[in-house]
Formats: sequence, C-alpha cells, structure tokens
Amino acid sequence: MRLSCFKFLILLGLLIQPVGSAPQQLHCQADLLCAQRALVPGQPVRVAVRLRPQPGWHTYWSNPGESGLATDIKWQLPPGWKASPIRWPLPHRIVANGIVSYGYEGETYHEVTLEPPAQLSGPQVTLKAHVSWLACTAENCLPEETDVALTLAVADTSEKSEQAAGFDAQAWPQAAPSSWSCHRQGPTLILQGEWTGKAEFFPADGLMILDNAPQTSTPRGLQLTAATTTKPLQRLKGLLVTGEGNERKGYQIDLPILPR
Amino acid sequence: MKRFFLTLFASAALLVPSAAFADAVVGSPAPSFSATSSSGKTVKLSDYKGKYVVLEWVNHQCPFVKKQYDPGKMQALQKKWTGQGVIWLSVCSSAEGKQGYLSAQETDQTIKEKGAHPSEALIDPNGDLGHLYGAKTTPHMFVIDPSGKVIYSGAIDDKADKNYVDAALSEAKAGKAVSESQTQSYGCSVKYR
Repeated sequence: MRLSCFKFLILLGLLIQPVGSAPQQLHCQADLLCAQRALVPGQPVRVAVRLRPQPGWHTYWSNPGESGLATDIKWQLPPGWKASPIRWPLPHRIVANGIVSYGYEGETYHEVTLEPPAQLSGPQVTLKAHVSWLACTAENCLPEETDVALTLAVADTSEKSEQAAGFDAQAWPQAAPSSWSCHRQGPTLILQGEWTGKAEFFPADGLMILDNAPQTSTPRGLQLTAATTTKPLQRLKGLLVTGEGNERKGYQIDLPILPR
Repeated sequence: MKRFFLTLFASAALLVPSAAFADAVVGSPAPSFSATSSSGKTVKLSDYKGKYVVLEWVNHQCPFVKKQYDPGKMQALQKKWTGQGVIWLSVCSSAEGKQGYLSAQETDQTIKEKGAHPSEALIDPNGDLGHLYGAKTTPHMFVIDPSGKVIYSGAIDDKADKNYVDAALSEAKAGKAVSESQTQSYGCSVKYR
C-alpha cells in the first residue's frame, strides 16, 4: 500500500470516534431484561433494569433513607407505550458512620410493567431507557447514568424468556393482611400484625419515623419512633420485612395511625 | 495506680459508641452551640440573636454539594442573603482523614477559590455540631429566625427549580409563615468519625 494512502487511513481511523463522552468507569452494570420472549400488541409485559454493583458499592431504594438517592428510569418508548412506576425488591438497611440508608448491595431488578399499544407496526420494537443511580461506598458517592436498550420481536403470542426465572427469584413485596394495624402512643408507633421472628420496618419517606432509632419487637407489635413533624402523622406507609436471607418476606404497609 | 486508672478511663472512652443524634426541630428553639470557625474564633449561636441564621452542611467532595457550587448557585444564595443581614454558617462535620475534611487554612482557601460567601465556616471534625442538629447529608440546611426558632430544616432544593432556603427566608422576611418548613434532605452521608 502506498504511504499516502496508509496515512489517509490512519487519519480516517482517528476521526471515526464514538460520538459522546469517553467511556465512564461505572460501578454498576446496567441491563434491560424482559420476562417474555416477544412483544404482543396490547398485552402488558414485565421488563426490568437490572443493576449489578461492584463489591463494596450499593444503590438505593425508593426511599434512600437518611442519605443517598433513589435509582431513576426515564423511558424512551415509541408512541402509545405506557410504563408503570418501578416495582422495587425488598431493600436492606445499610448503616455507615451512624447514618441509616435503605438500598441494595447485590444484583437488583427494578421491575416495570410496560403496556404496548393495541397495534404494533414492524416486526420488532426497541425499548430504551436512560437509567441514573447513586453508587456509594461508606466513604464515597458517585452519581452514575447510562442508556439501556432491548430489541424484541413482535408476535401474536409469547412464552416466558430464560430471564423470567431471574425476575421471579427477586424478593418482591406483597400485600399485608387487612388485620394489621398501627397505633400511636406519644412518640411511639406500634405496628401490629401476625409474624414471627425478626421484623424491620422501612418507611416510604424520611418524615415518618426516626430511621436511626431502634425498632423493638414486643408482644404488642413492632415499636417505631415517630419523627417530629410540623404536621401530625396521619398514615404509616412503607414495608414491613420479616425473616432473614432467602426467607425474607415484605409486606406493603399503608395504615391510618390510630390513637391508643 | 493513678496512671493505671487514667489509662483505663482513656481506653473506656474509646469504647463509647458514636454520639447519638439530636434534632433541630422546626418550630422549636434551635439548639445552642459553641463551635470553632476557620479563623480560629469561637462562634456561638447566641452571638446572632436578633438575626436570621442559616446553617449549611458542606463536603466539597460530595457530588451533591458540587452540583450546588459548580454552577455558582450556593455562592449566589450566600451572597444574596448575607447582603441582607442573614448570618450564613457553613459547617463541615467530616472527621479528620475522611472525605471532605479541610483544615482551617484549607477551608479559607476553598472559600476563596469557590467565591463562597459564608459569614463563618465552622470546622466540626468531632461531629458535635452535626449530631446536635441531626445533620445527615451534605448538603443539609437549617434556617433559624431572629427569635432563635428553627423555621426550616431539610434539603437545599426540590432537585429542580425550587430552593427551599431562598423560599423560607423570603417568606419569613415578608412576615409570612414558611410554607415548606420541613423536607427530607438528600445528598451524601456526612462523613462522621
């Protein structure tokens, strides 16, 4: 090859760079997964943004707790598509330097139900989202973001994908029995229900309970310390998580706070 | 024997768990304190009776603090309100050796570099002031009115266009009740001891 041609090709190679910023060093791997193999017009479909933090790093639940920031998904969908809010798996309590947060240290599926329109044109659809999260260790926090995408075929029917098992293996919250109740006695909130063994309450926001106060299990129920608020607390909202490890169960709580 | 007991006492002190958090409660008197500023002065809340006081928890390594300082937002807010007689106290409760810790000299240098306008910068490496107020994040904001009452506690803003501190001071100075006096703060955790 002549030298000038060679030089030209080198120059061309230098010019063909990927558009956008240099690749970031993300501390989480983000993927878009789908619980079924194909998309069926008008049929809701479960998808998930799966985050896998590096060892030592964690991301946050919908209420991050006393510090942190919840993961956020901004969908880029074709017209007519609808996305549900994120369905969060059961969080864990993360304590560092006396500060209490709620989040995830391992692989986490942020599940969303997408609703395709009644008619889908084309043999396939590409689903895209921009995901942002806060990745933290005890010493450091980094806001990170990336785009995820998944292209799926359109079909009349669909069966589960291989990834569906991963969705079902996550610890998802369930409805609490209707017999559960919450009473207030001074600064103490007592959540009463039927469970045995370890129980932990995760509040839906930061102005409900003192996150760093101990939660005491008594025969009367789980005792929480109410936050001091400018307006009186009307409802207890959050998750009651019982058990440990793979036996964890989470119950959605949304109860009026009754006087004792 | 005396040395033995002194050593024992000193060792026991190391075993004491980290301080519990108190709280600066909206509607209640702000906890009184005495702290050291970057200029070596002892600063007391009582020094500022009759003035509005803002307490701003800061860690310049925290991305949420950078988000306020890099575009000059926090500095502009400090300048605006100190220009109207508000006392603005920046507080760093990062322990020595932890993220965000700055010596007195480094603090003054950082203030100069960033064009910040606090009335005083308080250095709280032991975390006493942070624990007293219940500061959990950087940023974490408190506004105290001239009577010494806490009128705002929480986040700097709603993560969009509403700056809660600016709104609280504007409303209070106009003689109105603060419409959003308590919000959940967000940011990096304070790097306590």
